[in-house]
Amino acid sequence: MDLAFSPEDERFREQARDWLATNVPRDPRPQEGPEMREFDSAWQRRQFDGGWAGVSWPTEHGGLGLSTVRQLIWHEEYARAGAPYIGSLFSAVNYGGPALTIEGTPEQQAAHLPRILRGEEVWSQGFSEPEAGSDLAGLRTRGVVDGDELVVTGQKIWSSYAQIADFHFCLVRTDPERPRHKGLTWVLIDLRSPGITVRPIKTMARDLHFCEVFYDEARVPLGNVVGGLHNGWKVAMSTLTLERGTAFMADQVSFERTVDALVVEAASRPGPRGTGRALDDAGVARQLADLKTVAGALRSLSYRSISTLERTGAPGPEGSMMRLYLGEANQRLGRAAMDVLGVEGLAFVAHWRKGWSGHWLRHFASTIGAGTAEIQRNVVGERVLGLPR
Amino acid sequence: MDVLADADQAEITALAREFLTERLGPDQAHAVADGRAVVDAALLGRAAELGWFGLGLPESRGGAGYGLLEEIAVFREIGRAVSPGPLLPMVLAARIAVLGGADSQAEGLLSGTLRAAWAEPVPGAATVTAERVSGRFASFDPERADVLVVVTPEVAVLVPAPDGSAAVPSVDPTISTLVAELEVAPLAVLPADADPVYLRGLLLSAAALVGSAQRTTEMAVEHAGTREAFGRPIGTYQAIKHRCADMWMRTQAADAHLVYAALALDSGGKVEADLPGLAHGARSLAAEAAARNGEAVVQVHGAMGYTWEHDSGLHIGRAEVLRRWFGGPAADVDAVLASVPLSDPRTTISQAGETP
Repeated sequence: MDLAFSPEDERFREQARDWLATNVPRDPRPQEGPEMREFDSAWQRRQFDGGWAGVSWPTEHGGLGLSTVRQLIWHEEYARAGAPYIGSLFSAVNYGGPALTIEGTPEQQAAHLPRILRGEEVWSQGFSEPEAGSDLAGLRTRGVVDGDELVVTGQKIWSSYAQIADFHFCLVRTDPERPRHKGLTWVLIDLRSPGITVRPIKTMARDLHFCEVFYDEARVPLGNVVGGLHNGWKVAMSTLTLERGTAFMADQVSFERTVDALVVEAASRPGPRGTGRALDDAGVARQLADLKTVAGALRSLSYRSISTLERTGAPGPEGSMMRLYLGEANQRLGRAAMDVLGVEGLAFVAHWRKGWSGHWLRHFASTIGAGTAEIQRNVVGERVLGLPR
Repeated sequence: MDVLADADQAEITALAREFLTERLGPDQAHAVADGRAVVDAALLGRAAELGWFGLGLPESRGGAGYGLLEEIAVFREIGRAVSPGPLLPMVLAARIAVLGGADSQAEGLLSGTLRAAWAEPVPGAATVTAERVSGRFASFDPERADVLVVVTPEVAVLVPAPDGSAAVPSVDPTISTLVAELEVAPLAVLPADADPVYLRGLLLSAAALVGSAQRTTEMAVEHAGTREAFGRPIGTYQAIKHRCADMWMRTQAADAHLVYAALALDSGGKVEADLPGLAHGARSLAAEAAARNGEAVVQVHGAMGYTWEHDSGLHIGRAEVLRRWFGGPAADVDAVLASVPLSDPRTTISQAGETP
């Protein structure tokens, strides 16, 4: 047992810190539209050119082929440097790409992974449907094999960034005769194909974060099927385990900086009764101490899951806990921030550097996205604790 | 970097569990609670033979030469077993005596022949210095104690135990308590700059709380998987399943943070960290986990969980006592917030917190 990193790891940390200090963009990240994609892609490209993209990705796919520990160190330094949120590249870089390194064919990997790392390809997830969310296996979007193509018809929803994405990785029903979980296929679809309509949906946080995607006999090469026809459930579970397990590592690390920023805010504002500092109010202090502690616990949990990953080679279902823990902590942070700001903090401010109300509203999504809190608790109850279904 | 238990620690855990299950577990705790048994000198002598009271002390000073993580492994088990008896006060008293150079007490404490009890300063009503201990203190199991242990962030001392016969049963039916005035000079003194005994003790208490939270989670999961209602195991219902998931999650977070804090403290400053903030944070998570899990385990068991015979009440009482030591929840809030760098400009430039 040892908390200390090896001298080689520490050297890597220093190099990362040096590079980030001079390369992190200082302009605020645009919150929407093509400008956002341009910003996200340019920053990813810069990391790639600097030799820092895909720290734990295999070298044959353009990554650095380093350990998860180095990936963690990179995220820690990234957060320390105040580097921008990964934004529209989240799905491709943080878990879609990694899923392809496990489940994809060499041709699929060569076609997409280097482009993802260079920031040239934006992916969006197409799992949920209007009639299938938490009950994912109830999805109805059809994929019919026709020669060497899959003809896709149906509707996907809640697809983040689909309006600016290049590819939509979807779960579609290719064999309605089989039991529900056994007739699904995971397929990567070019969003510019004929027969696809993307319609952004406005959120309560007032941004166009996610979309509906309509499929009307869109033709997709069979070569874009990942993991084989009718084997989509397994690929989807592998994708979701990565999403819940390691994709949020950067968010876990950066959460502590956000808490620290709110504590600084509370130290510079008057308390709710107009006397003293907000930080000295017993209720505020208690909330902030809880958040600071939870931030530390998220780091400790990350260290534990990385230690496990280094020993066993794969993230386990306990990732559901991390996702849930972080999501609920972000919601409590939003509530605490509204308490700290009080009546002067009710203006809607989208960008968190300038206020907290947008953060508060945005995190209502954190117990829904990547699986609802209820589904995550089912996963923990059934797959970790072994409770009956 | 590797924060998982190694083979040595796993073995210590297994040995501790074996001893506690047989000699100092829930059965004995119930016996003590019923007045059918006491934790006597013989039993403390057995724990001493296992080396528990000097586990984290150097071999050259009569200890076993293990680190804080091994002590934590033992105290997690003590918490799981809701062991009766003054085990935490004994370990801390031995450390204060040995490292503070109080040789005559050291030998008795390491061998279990001298008995220690905890005395917690009542906030705002007590003063503890290397020269004098005075004011109001809540002591625990003071009846048969030879010395009282008083530990503050600045200094740790042993004082002669006064007459404790007026002690009454506490919310933990295995522990008695007495709130009384003390005015006495220490027998042994260990300043914080000589040894972080306060932080070590805080983490050992957190370990016992984590152990309790682990055990109550297991109890709830086991019951939820077997007890049937409306023709199905109650664990199939989300109201129960999700409660169990939350119990497990709280416990995991508390345990991971406990290990992180202990490794940081044990690194002797090599790992850059605010140790008081970390240790109090770990304790607050552990205390919350134990207390909330105590509520949950009763609810999952229904009326059976509310009975005197059930272990739930032992865990609930123990958690409520332990979480009040070392300054209680208020000390956690203060230490954790003191660890935030208020002047650090870097805290204002991160762009985290957007929802993917």
